[in-house]
Amino acid sequence: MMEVWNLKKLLSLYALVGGLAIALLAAGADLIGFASLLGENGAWRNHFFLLGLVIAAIGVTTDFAFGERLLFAWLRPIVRDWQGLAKFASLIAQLGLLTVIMRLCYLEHHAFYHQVMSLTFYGFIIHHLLPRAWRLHFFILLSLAGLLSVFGFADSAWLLGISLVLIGICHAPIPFWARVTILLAAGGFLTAARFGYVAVPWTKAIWPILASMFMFRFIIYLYDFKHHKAPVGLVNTLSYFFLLPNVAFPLFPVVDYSAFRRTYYNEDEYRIYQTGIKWMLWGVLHLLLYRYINYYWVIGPEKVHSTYTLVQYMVSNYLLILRLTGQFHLVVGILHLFGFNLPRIMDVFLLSTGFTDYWRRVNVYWKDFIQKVFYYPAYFRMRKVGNTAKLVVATLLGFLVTWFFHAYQWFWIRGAFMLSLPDILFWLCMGLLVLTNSLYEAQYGRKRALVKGAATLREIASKTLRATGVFVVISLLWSLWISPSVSEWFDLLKSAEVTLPELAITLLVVIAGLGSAMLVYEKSLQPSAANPHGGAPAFFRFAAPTAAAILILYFLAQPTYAFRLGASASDLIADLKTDRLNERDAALLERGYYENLTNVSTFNSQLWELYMQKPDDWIPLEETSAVRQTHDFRKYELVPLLNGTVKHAPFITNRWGMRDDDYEQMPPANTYRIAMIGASVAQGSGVLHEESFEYLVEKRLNQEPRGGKYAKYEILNFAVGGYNILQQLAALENKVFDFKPDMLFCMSHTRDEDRLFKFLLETPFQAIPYEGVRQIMRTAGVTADMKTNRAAKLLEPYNGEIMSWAYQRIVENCRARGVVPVWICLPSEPGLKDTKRAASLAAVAAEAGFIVLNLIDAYDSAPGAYLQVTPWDKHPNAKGHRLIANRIYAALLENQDKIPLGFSGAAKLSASKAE
Amino acid sequence: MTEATKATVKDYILREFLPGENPAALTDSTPLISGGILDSLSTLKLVTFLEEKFGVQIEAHEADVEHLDTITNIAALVHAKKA
Repeated sequence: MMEVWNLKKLLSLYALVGGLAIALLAAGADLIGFASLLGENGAWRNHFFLLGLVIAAIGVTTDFAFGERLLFAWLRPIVRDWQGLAKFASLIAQLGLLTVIMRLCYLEHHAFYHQVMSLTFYGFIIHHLLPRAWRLHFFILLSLAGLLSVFGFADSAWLLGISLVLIGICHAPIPFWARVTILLAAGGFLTAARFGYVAVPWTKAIWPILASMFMFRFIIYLYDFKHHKAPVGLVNTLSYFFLLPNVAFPLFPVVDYSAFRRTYYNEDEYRIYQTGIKWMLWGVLHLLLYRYINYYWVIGPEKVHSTYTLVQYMVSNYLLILRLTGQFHLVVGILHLFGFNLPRIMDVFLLSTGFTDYWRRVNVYWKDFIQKVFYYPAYFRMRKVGNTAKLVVATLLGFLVTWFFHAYQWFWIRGAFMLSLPDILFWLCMGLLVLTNSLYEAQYGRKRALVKGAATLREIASKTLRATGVFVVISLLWSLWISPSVSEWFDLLKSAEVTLPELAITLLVVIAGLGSAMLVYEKSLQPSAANPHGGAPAFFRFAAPTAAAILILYFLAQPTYAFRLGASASDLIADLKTDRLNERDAALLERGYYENLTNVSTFNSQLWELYMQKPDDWIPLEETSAVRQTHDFRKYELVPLLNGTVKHAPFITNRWGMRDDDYEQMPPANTYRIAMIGASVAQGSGVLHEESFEYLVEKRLNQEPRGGKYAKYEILNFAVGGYNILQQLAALENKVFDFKPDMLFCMSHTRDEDRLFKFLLETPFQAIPYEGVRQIMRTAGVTADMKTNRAAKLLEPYNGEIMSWAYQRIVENCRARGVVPVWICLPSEPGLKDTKRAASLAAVAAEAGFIVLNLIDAYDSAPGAYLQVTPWDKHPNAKGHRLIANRIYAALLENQDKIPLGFSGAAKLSASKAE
Repeated sequence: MTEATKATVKDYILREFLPGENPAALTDSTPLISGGILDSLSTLKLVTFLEEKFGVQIEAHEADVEHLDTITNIAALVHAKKA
């Protein structure tokens, strides 16, 4: 009889849990990549969802009917705990708003703000409602769902398989040294696979995640396992290696296993969750601040010429670390939501008052790892050596290991071992500075206090001065670290004309900034009036500041409210909500320079992440067989009559070497012919020819009868990917005019000047066929044998003048042949709207004599991320091209008085309705 | 024995790392490592003191928050080593 009852009890439980699981899987099928299993377009989703609910209802009914009433026993304490429910509701509201904010801001990447945050939000609610004994199991399932959602089934299965094998070796019933040996052999195999020496069936996308899970955590796990520092077991172990946020943030590899276990629900659960929300808010704020600095403040070394620009370069590039700190806060915050009350990973390191203090605060988890596994063992091993010698050896060993592991981490994530002199020098200098500071502290001690009293102004001033010293030195070292070579770092320092008054002013500004921050920080450490003993405040008082900040951020992220702050503030908020590269990185990406980014300057850059996603055969046009050498200034042109593939899209050219339909060289009678010059966007990079705006505008001109004087309109696409304005000019003079166009579309975008600048620096002075350009370069002081860096600094102020010269030459050519010159400006990429630069270029074009169509608003109706070919290729996709085509067509109609397309009068009336 | 050990350790910590602080504010359960009083350097100093004073040998993996975070933990470690 007992067995029957147990069966009934278990059946009702299984029905309840299984039914809820089916309903949840159906509801979240999109999220974890299961939608295709639920019929075409998820047609069966609702059926499965209802089926799950029915099964769960059967479970509830049988549970109630058979008298065990497990569900009620489970829910009763939850429902009766009104205070707990109120806290839980407050946490859900805060987390929900944070999730919306992250989505509105497209924070980091799609895998994070969509998949991981959705799983976090819904997972947090379910996780909290589960009995404590089930929570860790659920966390593992949630982490696996995260893997599935980001990598799909095949890669996730491989990742899970490899992980289980590695963990299995770790627990094999053989001596410890044998396990380590087998693990090293497995590591050797994976290394060979990472180098590409061994073919593996999984994609390269999982390497960073696999590495993030195991490259350091395995060392810590083995250490703790060997010394019995924390309990192990399948659930504990899997939850340690499979951390949900890792699928989006591979640069979070180090977590101490014993701390991970020790801090699991080690205090009131609501307080742990609230702390997590607070860290997540900090993460969001750091990432938004990072965007501000990255979009508006960061400059490249070529822009350094004075004290101020040198300081701007050093400080802004150093502060890009905010992206990493933001990510770390998000990861630790998310883990708190599942009970892992881990310590803070970074501790206001910008206010460090010494180099040891900086080392302790900049990455607490890393410092703890090095200290535990290398520093202490080295120190303790040298028992017969003097204290000072032990300190020197252990400290230097710690930094040697840090340098090596940094390169090792880079290898697993990037696939190439990093060995650069600036990197070695950076860690050497850091090691020596920390060592010197440690020796001083060992000799003279450090002030500590049991109860934090109010700091005096003198103390704050002293701390500010020390923090300024550390900040200046670290910024300087950072600039060395991000330099491609030591000589280029020295060139950078030499190129700035530093004056003492400017230096003094800059230093005062830094002191003022850090002093203010120090005052606020010291104040925050004082016990508040409401909580004079400094103990933990009540939950809602603890939650209030975070909740208020989230609410403010939420309203600011809403365009309706942001608009009320004024146009410029609203524009700034809109830009900060956009996930994009800064101008410099975008230019590098566009030109394919990410291929060669192997130096540490990419440590904080988003470029390498895009590079990681890029398929190996996704190469720039000029490196494909779609082009041939011209042996002139143009360098290359499209191969005629090509039928191939470029960037995974069919690439067909006509007999004249245009990516276009076939045309006769002479225009047919009663035909209005437009020739278009431009670069990759105009050429339709990444989309089908039939999806390109050139095709769409031409089609629309011919399909919508205007009752005008022309029977047909032709747009001949002479654009070639990678061409700058001078190459386009050369194509115009050598080729385009042979086709007798009536009008010229000169397609421009807001990075044309940068592209021209780079081209001129790479082209031998003598190879430039235009005397006008050579003359401007001579005026700038550029000589044939000059080094690139020097030439760049001299030429930069004259870049606009060369653009102007090229525009004038194009207009003169057109006028001489009766061709109407029209200049059309587009954003350089979807989501990057540089209104000022577009206006400035438009002024130059207008002055040269172009009819100007400034279409910088072409992509305004949709977020940039939805209009790009791929995350690593920012060219407009088919939807982007449709928006461009609509905008050009509307502009042509609006400007019929200036652009003689021969439409009838009625067409003019419809211009306003064109869109 | 344990109380005497605690008193010795407390006296050392107050003298070496917290000069001028109110002795009553340092209790047997005051967090030393997680509370920021003991950093890596002071932890090593404390370990050297414990080894010399009590004639025990502390291993590297024992210099952690589990064994040294409070005076009670420290005394327990010393006691276990001497047992």
